[in-house]
This record gives sequence, C-alpha cells and structure tokens, in this order.
Amino acid sequence: MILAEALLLGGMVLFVGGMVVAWTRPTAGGVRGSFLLGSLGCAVAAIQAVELLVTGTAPSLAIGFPGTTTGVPLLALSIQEDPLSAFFLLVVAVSGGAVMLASVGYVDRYVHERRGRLAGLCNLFLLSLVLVCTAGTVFLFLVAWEGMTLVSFLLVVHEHHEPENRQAGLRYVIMSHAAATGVIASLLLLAVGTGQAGWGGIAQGTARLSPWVRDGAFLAALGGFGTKAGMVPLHVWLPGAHPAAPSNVSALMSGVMVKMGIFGLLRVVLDLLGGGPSWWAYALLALGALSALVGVLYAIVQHDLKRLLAFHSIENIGIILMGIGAGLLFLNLGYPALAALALAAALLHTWNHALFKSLLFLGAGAAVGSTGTRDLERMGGLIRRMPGVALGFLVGSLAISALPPFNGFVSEWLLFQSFFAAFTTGSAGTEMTFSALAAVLALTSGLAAYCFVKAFGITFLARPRTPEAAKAAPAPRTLVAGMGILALFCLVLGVAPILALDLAGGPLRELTGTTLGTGVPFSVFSSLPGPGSVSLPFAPGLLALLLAGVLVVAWAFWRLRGAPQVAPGPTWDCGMDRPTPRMEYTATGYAQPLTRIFRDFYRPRDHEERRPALQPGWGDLSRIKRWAREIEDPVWRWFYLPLSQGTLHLARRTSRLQSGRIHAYLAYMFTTLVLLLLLVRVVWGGTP
Amino acid sequence: MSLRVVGPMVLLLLEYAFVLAVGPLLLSLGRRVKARSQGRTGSPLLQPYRDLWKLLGKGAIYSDTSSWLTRWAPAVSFAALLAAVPLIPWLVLPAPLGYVGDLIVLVGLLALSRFIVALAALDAGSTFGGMGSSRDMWMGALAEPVFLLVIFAFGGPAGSTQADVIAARGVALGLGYLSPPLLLAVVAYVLLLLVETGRLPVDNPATHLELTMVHEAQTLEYTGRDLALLEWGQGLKLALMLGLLAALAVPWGLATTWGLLFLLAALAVTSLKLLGGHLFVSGLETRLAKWRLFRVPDLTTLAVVLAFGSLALTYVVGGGA
Repeated sequence: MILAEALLLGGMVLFVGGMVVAWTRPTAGGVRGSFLLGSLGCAVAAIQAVELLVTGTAPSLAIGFPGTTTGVPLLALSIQEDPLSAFFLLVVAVSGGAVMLASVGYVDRYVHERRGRLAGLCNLFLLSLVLVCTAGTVFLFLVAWEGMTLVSFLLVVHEHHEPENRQAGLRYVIMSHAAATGVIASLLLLAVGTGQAGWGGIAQGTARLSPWVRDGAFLAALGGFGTKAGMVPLHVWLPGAHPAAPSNVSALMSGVMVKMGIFGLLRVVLDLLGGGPSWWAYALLALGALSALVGVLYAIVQHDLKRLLAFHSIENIGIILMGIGAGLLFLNLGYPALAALALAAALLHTWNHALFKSLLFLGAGAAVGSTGTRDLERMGGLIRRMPGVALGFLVGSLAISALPPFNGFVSEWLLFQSFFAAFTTGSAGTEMTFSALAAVLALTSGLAAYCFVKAFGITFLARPRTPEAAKAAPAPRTLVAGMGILALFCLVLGVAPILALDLAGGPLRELTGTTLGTGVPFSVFSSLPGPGSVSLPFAPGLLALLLAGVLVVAWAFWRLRGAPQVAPGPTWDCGMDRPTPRMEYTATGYAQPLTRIFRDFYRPRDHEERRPALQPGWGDLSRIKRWAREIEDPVWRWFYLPLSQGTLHLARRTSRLQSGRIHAYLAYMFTTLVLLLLLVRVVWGGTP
Repeated sequence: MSLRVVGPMVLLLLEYAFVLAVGPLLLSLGRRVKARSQGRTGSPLLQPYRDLWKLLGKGAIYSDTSSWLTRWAPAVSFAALLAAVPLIPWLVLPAPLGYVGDLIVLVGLLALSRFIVALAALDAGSTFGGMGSSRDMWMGALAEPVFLLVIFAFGGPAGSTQADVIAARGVALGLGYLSPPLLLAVVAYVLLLLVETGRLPVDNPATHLELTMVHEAQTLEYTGRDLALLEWGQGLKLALMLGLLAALAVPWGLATTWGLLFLLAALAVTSLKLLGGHLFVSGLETRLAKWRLFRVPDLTTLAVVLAFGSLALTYVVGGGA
C-alpha cells in the first residue's frame, strides 16, 4: 500500500524537520516548533502502526541496494514491518508523541541553555527508535540500535556541568556498548548461520541451526537486550542514567527506550528462534522475578524521585520478562493458547508501562523543575501549586500500583491468570513454580502500592517542606496536556483493554501461531477473551460501570441529605499543637518498616550527627541533630567494581606487550593472521 | 424488561442491602464478645447503626492543610468496597453479577480502597496519619502474596479463580469437598483475615493509644459523614472477608435454584455463617494480646507456608473427591 509507506516516511520526515528547525533556529519559537513537529511525527507513525495492526497492510521500503542483487546480502538495508514491529512502533509513538507535546512548554521554562540541541536530539532519538522498530534487516537494525544508544548517551549528559551526570553517562555508554556486543553477536550468529539478512528469511532457517548456535544466540540476546531493558543484574546503568537526563528525556528513555530491549528479546527468542528448550524459559522467569523484587525493594528506599521511578522501571521489566518466560514455557510444553495468554499479558504490560511511566516521569519533571530538587524530603504540598500535574501523577501511581480501574491492573491480572492456567497442565512442578511466581508478583505489586503512596504523598500532599516547594511555579499548559493524554490512555486501556488486546492479536499470532478469544466476538462490556474460545472471569468495562454507578448513587444520597456544612480547621493530630512541616512523616520514615524487616538485604548505613543534650535528663533522643540513612545497590560494589578493577589489572598486564618496537608489532600481526587462518580451517573445514 | 434481567438485579440489590446492614452488626458483635470476656456488659448491639446515623447527619471539618483528595477519599474507598460485593456469592449460585470479576479483582479492589485511605492519611500533614499510612500499606504489601496463594489453593482444584465457581464445586461435592489441603488453606485464610481487617494480634480496632494504631490512625482527621463512610467501610470489609470465607470454606446452604423459600433459607444460613465466623474471630481476639508491629511478618510468612503446604498437599492426597 502506498498510504502506509507515505505515513511512515512522512513521520520520519517530520522528525528530520524537527531536527533541522531546532538546529538552525534555536530560539524559543524554533524549539517549540521542533517539539511540535516531533509530536506530529509520532501521531503519524501511530496512525500507520494502527493501520497495520488492524488491516494488515505493511509498508515495505528498500534503501539503497536491495541486498539480493549485491554480493553482500548481509548489508541489505530495508524497512519491513510485521505486526510485532507495528505494536512496538505504536508503543513508541503514543508515549513519544505525548512526551514531545509536554516538552513544548517544559523546555521553555526550565532548560535555558542548549535547548535547541536538546530539541533536535529528541527528534533524532525518536527517529532512531522508529527505525529500530521498523528495520527489516539485521544490518539496518544494528545501525539504528547503535544510533539510539549514542543519541540517548548525548541526552543523558545534556546537563554535563554536573560531574554526577557525566559519571552516569559514562557508566551508561560503557554498559550499552558491552551490551551491543551481545546484540551484534546474537544477530550475526543467526544471520550468518542462515545466510539471510531479513527477519522473515532468518526465521525460516533457524530450525536447522545446531542447538549450540541457538543457545549461543539466546544467551547473547539475553545479555544484550537484557542490559538495555534494565534486567537485574545488568541494570546498574539505569538508576543513574535516567535521573541524570532532563525529565522529558527520562520519560522517553524509561517509558520507551527500555521497551526496545523487550522488543529485541521477543524478536530473537520467539520470532526468529521460535522458542527453545525449557531452560530458556526458566532463566527468563528467574531473572524476571529477581528484577521485579530487587527493583521494587530498592525503589521504596529511594528519596530521589527520579531514581525511585527508575527502579520501578526495573521492577516492571521484571514483570514483563516473567510474562515472556511463561509464554516460552507454555510453548515448550505444547500449549500455544496459554502461551498467547502469557504473551498478551507481557505485550499489554509493555504498552501500559510505557504509558504510565512516561506520565510519572513528566509529573516528576514538573515537580523537580519547579522546586529545583529531586529530593522527596524537600518537596510537599505541590497538589495545591500544580493540581493538574498532581492528578496526572495520581493516575500514574494508581496504574503502576496495579489498581483497578487502570491499565496496570489489567495486564498484571492477565499475568496472574496465565500463571493460574498452569493448573491445566497437570504437572505438579509447573503448578508449584507458577504459584511461587504469583506470590512474587503479588508481593511486588503490593510493595509498588506502598512505594507510590509514599512517592505521591510526600511529594504532593501535606505542607511544603521547604520555601522552594511553597513557591513552586505552576506547570506549563502543554505539560499538563501531555500528561492528560497519557492519563486518558491509562484509564481507557484499563476500562476497555479489549482495544489493546485486539491490536495485540497480530503480534500474538506471529509469536505463538494463535491468539486470544479465537472466533468469538468480544465487546467493551463483555468478559475478557481467554485462551482458545473461552473467556476469562473479568469484565473490566462492567467493573468500571459498577464503580461509577456506586459513586453516583453515593453522590445522589449526599444531595438528598442536604449539602453538608463544611468548615475548615487546623490539622487536629490528636490535639497536638498545629503540626509544622518538620513534624510530617518523611520518605525515609515511611519506608522504615520495610528497611527494618529486610535489614539483611538492604544493609543500610546510618549516619548520626550528635550534639550535647538540650537539657540534662532529656535523654539520648534530644542529642541526635541529624540522622540519615544510606542504602546502596550491592550489585555495583560486589560485582561491577571487582569486574572493572580486574579488567584494569588485566589491561596493565597486557600493556607490557606494547614495547614500541615496530618489528614486534609486525610479529604480532603475523601471528594473529596465522592463528585466524588456522581457526577458519578448523571451524569451517577449509571452505570459508 | 424480562425476568432474566430484572431477577438478578433485584437479587443484587437484596445482597447489597444485606451486606450493608450486616457490616455494622459484625463490628458491634465483636465488641460485645470482647466486653463479655472482660466482665463488662458492652454497648448495645445496635449502637453502630445509631453512631452511623448520627455521623451521617453531621457536617465535616477539613484541615486547612488538606486538599481535594481528603474530600474524595472516603467515597472512593467505600465505592471500591461496594464494587467488590457482587464478586462473592452471598445467597445464590451462580452469583447474580459474578462474571464482573474473580477473586484477583477482589484483591485489586481491596487494595484500591486501602491505597486511597492511606494517601488521604498523609494529606493533612499529621504525624499519626503518616505513621498509620506507612504501617497499613506495609502490612497490605505483606498480605498480598498470602491472598494470591490462598486464591490459587482454593481455586486450583476447581480450575477457576471465581468465587462462585469454587463454591459451586463445593456444593456439588458435598462433604467430599472437605480435605486436608482445604483445611490448610482455610487456616491461611483466617490469618490473612486478621491482617486484612486489622484484628488482634495485628491491630487493635478498639485502641485509644495513638502510637499503637494502624488503621485508626488514618481516620483521625475525619469527621461527620466522611468518618461514617470510613467506619461503615470497615464493617463492609469485615463482611466481605467473612463472606468469602463462608463461600470458600463452607459453601453448603447457598441456593442453587431460584425461589423465595430457597432465598430465605440461604439468607438465614449466610447470616449464621457470618455471625458464627465473626464469633470465632472475636473469640480468637480475646485470647491474644497485640503483637509488636515487627512480628506481623511472622504471621504472614506462616500464612504463606500454610498456603504453599495446601498447594503441595493437593498432589499427595488430592484436592477433595
């Protein structure tokens, strides 16, 4: 179809236009226009993705040489969309468009220097994300992948005058490139093994590959894409890089870019390799459960708002990985319909997380921008200064805490159902495994709710804790508009998830060969479609109707009894004197019950500053002047620091080879060449 | 409208009336049992209704620190609990609007109700509110895995997470439904009920010492109608948790055919089950002192172990005939 190609190209041209405008006219108007162009580009791309998912018309563009006619098929460049790419394109485009719209006013107010560069890079970032989704060949995918990494690195270090940001950027770029090795290795193993460059061709040839090559490709993909997704223990770049970037970029990175890791994993493991042995599934399930728990446990103890949100991305990636693992296991056991259920949960949660995490980061950006701090303990009372932002953040908090009637609940509910479906397999081991995973998922969502009462409550409620928070400027209108779009999506996909499930039908068929609710029509108010032609015991539309109905009845009852007399008064607090902001519950205090019972996990280090007792006999408590608790991620200290020190040590040892004498270098080259030739001879038996 | 539409709707309204009415009665029954065990007479059984009526007629005072969240929270929390009523079979099988959701949806609605109240507790900026909020969310998080495992333990043999399907299996099996795994799951559920509804030894609903409060500390700033909704909500939640216990553990007596006589019988049986269940829980409460807050994880861990035990035992002895 010409229309699909025109839409896709049009979207890309708009991104390029946004870049050109921002870089040639970095004035306030130019920057605003640039963001608007990016937002428009996303809208166009979203339309194209929906068109493909609904009607199945895929755009297909070959760039330069079409590969088959040249001698280097691996270098073929073409854009080729299938339902899986379209679904992820939609995920990118909806969140991306809302974030770009929100950036229009946000950047205007908060980032004065280098904002032209920021706007241009944001457009370039979106272009690279769109290319990652739509690339039809290995080579173009790798180019786009690398572009995405480099542009996001530039965005992370945008505020490079802060040494902390530079360090976070460095950590990010090093880990990303280590991960890129995995991505490249995995895809090249498959492409070379099958002799194909396009996804379709590779997928047809992978069944013939030896189990060793398939296992290698799986492990390399798990490491490479897992790092990008923020899977524990490869997550350590994420809590540093996301807070370092400007908040609209954090929204793009945490909401959208992280999902590309999931996309890559689905592409390689399910689409190209078509599933595998059960240990792949168990590995994904274990890593997913670990990521979910570690992510949420560290999120709760953060008092940096953006870091807290970043840890929640790790948690949600864990939830998605559990869904993928469950799907893989069901496929392996021969239950494609159940696999479709688990993968539907994973796909839906991917989209849902993209929506509410972008929403939350935009809200955090507004709070951080107007108070000038990321520290929760220095905020408070913002609900009155920025009611729209507070409402949006509240919707995001409800959604990420998996509470009905919002979208996060639906995808986690589907995942619970797919775990429960293990009871139909009749295998005791599988059932117990999935019961344990359900317990982990339940604990995770309970802790997420705990964390978001804290995050919302300490940031937006009670009285401002600092003069800056009391004077916080209201948020720009476009920012509230961008948040409003995302919040609306969170509600609509929670009330009518059937819309998202319909769109996920194509990708599900592509990944598992079947889809949910085959052959039975489902409406907004009916129960959700389940595996095969059965339906699942949940009608989200009806539940929302019930909730709304009860509220309306309550409201009518209110009116009938006459409007209540409402009087303002001071906070009672059991008759204490009017409480001051210093007496409010702190973020650290809020999380204290948890840090106490998981002391051995957190190993907190407490810092106390003491002074002489205020009055003799007042006891120990009055001598504590300041008290702070520090909790750091042990993975960094116990895994990455030794690793980097070991690498440096090895490098120093190796550097002795560099003698500076030319003839020595020539000898090295000759030896390497001989060794490589020998290797080729041994591995390929003389026919390269 | 045909009888097929009107019938279930009338029945649903009847169930709503029943649950709304029985909630306060359960609260006062618990107080009565405790008072008697301490040698006091206790307040009249109808006292909570009078309190609710009085509070509903009053205006409200809102802290000048608080925002719109404080004003909306009681209604939303109450609505979430009300929306959970159709998910449980109270009188007939299948439940009239049971297909709205399963027990995992019930968990979600209870969590929504808790979340909103905990947020509002932070709104006025009072220290006690923050303390209660932090503790309640913490306990809720620890209770959630227990809830899911219990659902899996009850639902596994029935192949469904829907309360009325599980209950229908029990009714169909008769006494053959009773089995060792069921017993373990019931014990785990009772522990969960203590945590979820804030009973001793976890939380003392009758305490007057702020520092030991968990749920009560969150409602300290509320007055008038809002307080009435929150108190009523506590009764409603108790009724929901006990009603679920009745449906899952002793499903016999639920009507499987429509008819006035059957309905009346089911009403009597369900009331007896709820009151009996609460007498048991209150009796348990009189035998226990309040635990330290940090022993609550012991209780939830025990419940997790029991629920897992129930799941594992199913493979050894089978989940009922």
